[in-house]
Amino acid sequence: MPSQADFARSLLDPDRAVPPMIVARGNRFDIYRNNVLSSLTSALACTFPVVEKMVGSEYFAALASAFVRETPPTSRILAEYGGVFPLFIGTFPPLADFPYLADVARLEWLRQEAIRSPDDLQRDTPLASIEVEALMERKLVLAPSARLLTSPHPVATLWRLHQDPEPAQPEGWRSERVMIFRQDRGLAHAVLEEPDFVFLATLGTFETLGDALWALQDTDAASRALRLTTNLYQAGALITV
Amino acid sequence: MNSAAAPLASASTSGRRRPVGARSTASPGALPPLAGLGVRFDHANAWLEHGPEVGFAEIHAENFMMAGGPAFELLDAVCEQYPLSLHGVALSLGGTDPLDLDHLARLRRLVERCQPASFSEHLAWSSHEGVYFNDLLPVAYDSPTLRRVAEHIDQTQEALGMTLLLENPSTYVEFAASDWDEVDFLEELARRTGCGLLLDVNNVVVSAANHGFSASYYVHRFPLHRVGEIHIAGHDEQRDAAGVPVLIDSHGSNVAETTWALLDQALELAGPRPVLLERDNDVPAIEELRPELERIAAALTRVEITNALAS
Repeated sequence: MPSQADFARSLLDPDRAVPPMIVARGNRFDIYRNNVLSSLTSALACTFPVVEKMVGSEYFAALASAFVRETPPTSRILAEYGGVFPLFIGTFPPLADFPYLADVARLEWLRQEAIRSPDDLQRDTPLASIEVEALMERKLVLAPSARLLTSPHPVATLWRLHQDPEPAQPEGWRSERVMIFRQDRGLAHAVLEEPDFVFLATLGTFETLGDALWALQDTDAASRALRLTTNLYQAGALITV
Repeated sequence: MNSAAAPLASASTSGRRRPVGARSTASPGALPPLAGLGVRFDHANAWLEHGPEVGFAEIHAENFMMAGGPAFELLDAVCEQYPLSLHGVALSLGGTDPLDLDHLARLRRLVERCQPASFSEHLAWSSHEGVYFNDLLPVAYDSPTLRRVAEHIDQTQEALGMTLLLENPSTYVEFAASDWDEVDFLEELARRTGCGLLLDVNNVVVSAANHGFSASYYVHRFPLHRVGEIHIAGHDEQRDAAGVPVLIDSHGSNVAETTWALLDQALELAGPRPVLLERDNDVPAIEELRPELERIAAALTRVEITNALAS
């Protein structure tokens, strides 16, 4: 019986011989090799368009090919492929001088997760009708789509600038913390100061919003955190449970 | 719509997009014998806002296997307004691996959500030892493969609670072990499992050119009474390392004249069938696909008229 294992192994390894059970003519097995590699690198380009833009499409194809050969997909859903691509980029020796690329890739991966995450089924209460006092008594957590990312690089700014066909350089270079969440049919980013980021990252560990604010032990910090919380709650990035 | 062309979907008084006059045929599946179009995310606004005038919609199952989000809004809107052809590309029915039960369960949830008029998959494999290659890879036409694919079809039909349509492949290589003819192989699979068939006329053109057989004779011999849907698409022509022309099933260009001729032949022999225009690469705006959709509709109308005159 012909071995699919032989066929499969030769697909991603250009140096391996064409499987012996093939009626070989004109290197036509290479059509399959090309199809597999190009379809998987295209799938990565769909998920990581800003990384592609930053390194150029030719470089991206080579980078993605190296990744595909090392870590081919195990999910049959292409949108779920590439979760460890940021790690690969971060440890890819030729890109050592561009450490921000891996974090831009992380941001793009979190966007991909967020757009496909479960719907927030409780989202039926008119937001305007929620009293702050009532919210203080409730436990608040991140919405199912919300993701947090912290980076020593201006990762959200880089992403935003690269939505422009002629991206500008960021003014200054500073660390950024960003919350990614679904809004309407798309995604939103909230760029956060460090105390806000820490507050949101730990919010879900408190029984109520009131407890979380009390734990700040500072009136100014608490009113700032309350403003942030109500804004993000109204934007759909936080939910009550 | 160009008034000189036959309608893609007849006008309806109750809903502008739901075609009427879609007569049921003896073919498997419940798609209307009209021109259909695949739903691409690039066209999401067109489908959501002023649904294109087509007889049915098609989705690739693997594009809609998420937990939530705006893609479901698109899916639900499409399902509400069109009969749906659900087309799987990753089940790997031809694989020597067992079927991926998680994937089958996700497929089942999608079937429950969108209640498709038909589900189709390929005579091909795409996964091995857990690695997914995202390509429709060829199988040998021999007895072990026949048994294995038949088991996988049985298992899928049982899990989904519906029969599937099995699509003929486009291939670039052949296997020394093949001792069955492709048409006989597909027919035997259909006989053993009760599945229907999906005839992709572009795949026939591609494989016939690549392996040197007659596309017309292939269609002549195809068990057309089992065909529940026809696919038509464009291909590219390249030269292989020996300088011999080879056709690539690219779905990235207009349908070739030879493929149109084969569609006409298939419809003359089979009678009207649902015909899907496939365009997966270099996808233009829907309006640019309209001439091809109208050409499909015209071919279907010609066959209906011919049949009506003959009866």
